[in-house]
Amino acid sequence: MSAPSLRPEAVIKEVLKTKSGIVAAILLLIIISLVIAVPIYAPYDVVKTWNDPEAWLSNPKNAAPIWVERLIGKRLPRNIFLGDENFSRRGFNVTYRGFTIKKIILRARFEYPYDDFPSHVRVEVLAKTNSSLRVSAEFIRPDGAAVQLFDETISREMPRLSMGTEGERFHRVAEAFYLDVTGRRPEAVVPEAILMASKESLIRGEPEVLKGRYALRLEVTSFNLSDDVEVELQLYGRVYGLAGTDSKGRDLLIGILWGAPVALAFSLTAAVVSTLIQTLFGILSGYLGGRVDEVIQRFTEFMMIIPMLPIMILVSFVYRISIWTLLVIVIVFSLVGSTTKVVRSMVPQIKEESYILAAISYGASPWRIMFLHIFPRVLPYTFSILALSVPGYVFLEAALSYLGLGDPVLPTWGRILGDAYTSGAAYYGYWWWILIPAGCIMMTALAFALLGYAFDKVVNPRLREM
Amino acid sequence: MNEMPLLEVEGLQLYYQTYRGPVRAVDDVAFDIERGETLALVGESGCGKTSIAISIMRLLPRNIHTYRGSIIFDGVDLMKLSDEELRREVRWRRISMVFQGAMNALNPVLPVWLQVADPLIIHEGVEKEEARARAVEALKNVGLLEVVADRYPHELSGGMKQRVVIAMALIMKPELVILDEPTSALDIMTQANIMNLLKRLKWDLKLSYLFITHDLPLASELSDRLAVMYAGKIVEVGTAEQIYLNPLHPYTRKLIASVPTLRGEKELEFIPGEVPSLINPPRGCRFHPRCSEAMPICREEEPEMREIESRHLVACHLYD
Amino acid sequence: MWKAYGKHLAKRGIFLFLTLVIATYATIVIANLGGYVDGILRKQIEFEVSQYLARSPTFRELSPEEQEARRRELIEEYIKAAGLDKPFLQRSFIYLWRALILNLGRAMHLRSASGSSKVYDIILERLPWSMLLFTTGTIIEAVIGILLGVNMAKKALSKFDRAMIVASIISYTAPPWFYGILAILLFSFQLGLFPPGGLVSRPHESWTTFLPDLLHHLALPLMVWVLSFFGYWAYITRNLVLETLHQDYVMAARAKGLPERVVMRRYVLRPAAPPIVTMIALALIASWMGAIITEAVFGWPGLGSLYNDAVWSMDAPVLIGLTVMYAYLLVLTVFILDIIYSILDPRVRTVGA
Repeated sequence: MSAPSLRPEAVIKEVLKTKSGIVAAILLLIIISLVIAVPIYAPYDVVKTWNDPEAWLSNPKNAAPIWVERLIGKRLPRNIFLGDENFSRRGFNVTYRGFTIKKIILRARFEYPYDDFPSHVRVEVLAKTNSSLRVSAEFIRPDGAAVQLFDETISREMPRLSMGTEGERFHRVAEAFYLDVTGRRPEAVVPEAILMASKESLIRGEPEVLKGRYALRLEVTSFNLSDDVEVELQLYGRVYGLAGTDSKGRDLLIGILWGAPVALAFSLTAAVVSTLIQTLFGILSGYLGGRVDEVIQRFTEFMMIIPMLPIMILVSFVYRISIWTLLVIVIVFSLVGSTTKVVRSMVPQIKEESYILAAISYGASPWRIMFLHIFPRVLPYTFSILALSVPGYVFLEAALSYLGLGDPVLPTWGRILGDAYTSGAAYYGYWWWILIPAGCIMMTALAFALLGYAFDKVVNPRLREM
Repeated sequence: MNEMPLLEVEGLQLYYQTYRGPVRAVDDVAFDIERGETLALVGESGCGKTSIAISIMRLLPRNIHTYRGSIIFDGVDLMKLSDEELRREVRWRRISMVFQGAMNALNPVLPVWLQVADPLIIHEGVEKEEARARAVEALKNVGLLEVVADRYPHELSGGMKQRVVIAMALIMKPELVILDEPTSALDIMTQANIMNLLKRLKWDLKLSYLFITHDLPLASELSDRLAVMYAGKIVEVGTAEQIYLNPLHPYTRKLIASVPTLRGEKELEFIPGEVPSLINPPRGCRFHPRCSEAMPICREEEPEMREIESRHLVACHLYD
Repeated sequence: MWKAYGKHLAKRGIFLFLTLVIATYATIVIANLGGYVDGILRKQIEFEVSQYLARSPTFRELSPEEQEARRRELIEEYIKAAGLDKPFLQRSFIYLWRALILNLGRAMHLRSASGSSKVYDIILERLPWSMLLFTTGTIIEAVIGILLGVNMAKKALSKFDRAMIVASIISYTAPPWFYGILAILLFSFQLGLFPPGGLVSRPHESWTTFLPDLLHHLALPLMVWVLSFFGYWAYITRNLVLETLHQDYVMAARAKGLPERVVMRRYVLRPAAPPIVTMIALALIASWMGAIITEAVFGWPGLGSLYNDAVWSMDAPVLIGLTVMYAYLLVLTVFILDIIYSILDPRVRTVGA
């Protein structure tokens, strides 16, 4: 294989002139912008909470990205959160047959202009009492209909009343409402789609959202004048953020952003180190020849025969490892390989060049010759090899994370993809959970593949001008 | 020899297409070769000599910008023949080529006899047995032993390979053989042997040669006439004697002066400057930037080819 | 010439065998966690013995000391029977020997569909499915890719060529499992055209119903496999053929007036064949193991998912058996390849002196 002399700067300039080089550069810029966004949008303490389910409670689950609205043309519901401070309070005392009863009326209103029902609704009441109190709640629709959600006594022992649309209570309430409005029983009870649907659409059998102003009204009755409650109402939306959420409500954008530096760092490090070491071995092998060559060649063939993936799966499973240990193992497996052979075949021709012969004649040591003279000559050729090996590493890390064998803490793209798959995202149609991380992986891999191809074209001019 | 020349080339142009622009490798070249004559085409590397060879046989690569002119071989204009006609009638049967030894003109995965014999098998439908026998004979004819026939190219020395290529070129007994630097990769001894072989074959088989080389003395050994080429153009044509004893073009003169002689003192000269780019050749006479006798007109007008003495032509303003 | 080559071949054979041995041993050590699994097995035996004794009425009548003695006795017996009394280092070589002669032993947890615990049976049961999918896929992708590559070389730098290069790059950048996930999302769930995985949708009585169902399930993984690899073949073939097309002997062949067909066949493809044949053989061998992750994505019951199952259930004998099989096949293929290569390319025969 011929190796005419090339200057690295010249090579890079030429690469940027080719079409694939330009596309690759653009893709890389996109990825780098993701990396830059990391400290702004997803600093490390936020990322640590990735594994903590508590942190994600107030996010809607399996929500699509916000921009999906543009695609479907419907207004999709966002989260609506009404905390205690959103409720207007009116407390007063009532005297009845000599008893003083405390009454508190709480009321909150919200606008609901969306075209689709919320994915989930949750009402929570926390009683602050020494004994007990009674709470009743009414859900008031824009058309004036008021649905009683509950009328319960809460005691100090269990001060929290929580009602969500996945629960029995809501189902019964919704069913009753449906019966009342339509005169029949519903086939499937989806409380949100019943309680917030227009009456006439319910009768028709195709629930449509009743848009307008809704209200939640609570009436608290207690014998204890100092009693109070805290209320929370949350309607979970169907869209969230730029990348949607997963089944645990985690903002996928954080995972995506964080995955970028991981993917880049892992694959670039692996690629650079392995290409470098393999190149060095190739130079050693080609320049020193003889025994050294034999040994390195056998070692190379040996490593090329041993299957890397099965053993890595085995090792990652057996010894639960972090991503950095994985990196080390990958590098160990890649110490020698096909690059060694390629570089080795380039050395003989370079060896014959006059400046090498001159260096030998003035007594330069072999190491000096190899590193100062031969290595820079070989370098531009290794660029394309390096770039072309990156996608392999990107997918390797993704594969192991996908199988659940990757780093247990960091949210990498592969891991998000793996979570998506095991949570049945494909089946349920949560396409963003699959396509966005997959797209990122593909984009990174393509960027380097195109870069490598552009380098190849520049460095092997035969490929260009044939 | 008053009959029609065997080969008459007129206005031949071959430009290659590159991303930097068209390379004018052969720029309006004219020459002819009589039957039984050897014409040598002499020039530096990169002046377009090999391009002339591939133009005649239409062995064009894909990146061709311009290919025109007339190549009249035995009365027929080869340029007007279709690819298929050229392939079936002309190539190898009537015109063949001996490639440079440095080129790997031999297929590494086929045995030697098959490569020598396959034109016979294809063109004349000769059976394999007989074809092999004839190949062996051809190999013997160029001084190789029969065992070579079953060998593979990588097992042969440079000289042996060159002989194989010669045997290959003559297998169909062509009329014109184009020899493209047939000895440039060989050592002096082998070179001499090959030259003798070529001379003998020419005599025995009544061949005409187009002998392409950069080696002027070598050219004069084998050739009847020489054509000197520079930057895609022919600058002087004459017999070996005429060129050596009376070189007209300044370039020819410098060429001769730069050749060492075994006897006698000679001050070696070299030609200053570099070979011009064939993409953007100099205006006017292409040699003028390096010519010690350049005149103002040389920068403006291209000189025309004129006959100065019998069959001795030159293109130079010195002789206008 | 052949004699020197014969010596070279012998050296190769020895070297390859050595590689086989080392790879197998390495797997044995890793799969057994360097002896850690022994500890688990021991505990398992202790547990089971205790369980067993607790149910035995005669045992309960013994005194505590006698119970303890009896327990230990039984444990020792079982440990000896399982061969766990010898140190791991020693046992590892016994395993190595057995593995090399293909006595693969019995699996710890996994079983074949017929209930056999012999590793050999388990592997053999799954092998055909891997071969069906991946060997077929490899053949198809190689044929498509090579044909495409030759065509690209013939029309080098044309729009067709350029477009196909881009397609090839996109193709081989991503591994098949990746395309598999996307394909399942699109074709299985969104469009409902193909099943999302598995071998068949339900048990079948006869071949006539089995076959179409199988093919229906085969379609998606096969498509995805071909999609992911055709680009590799196309690109490499293209470059190889282009390089050969520019060799001087091709021009010489044309100069000889040989028709284009003959030129292509004898002077372009024949010389370009050896590296391509190498690639085909290596790809076939890789295909036999089945891509582990691709089989996982599609739930395809081949050797790849067997590997996965073995890893997750830490079934060392199965792991070792798979690796040994793979190593043998690989080593054999590399060896045969050397020989085929020397037939195709005479230049190689002079090596080894």
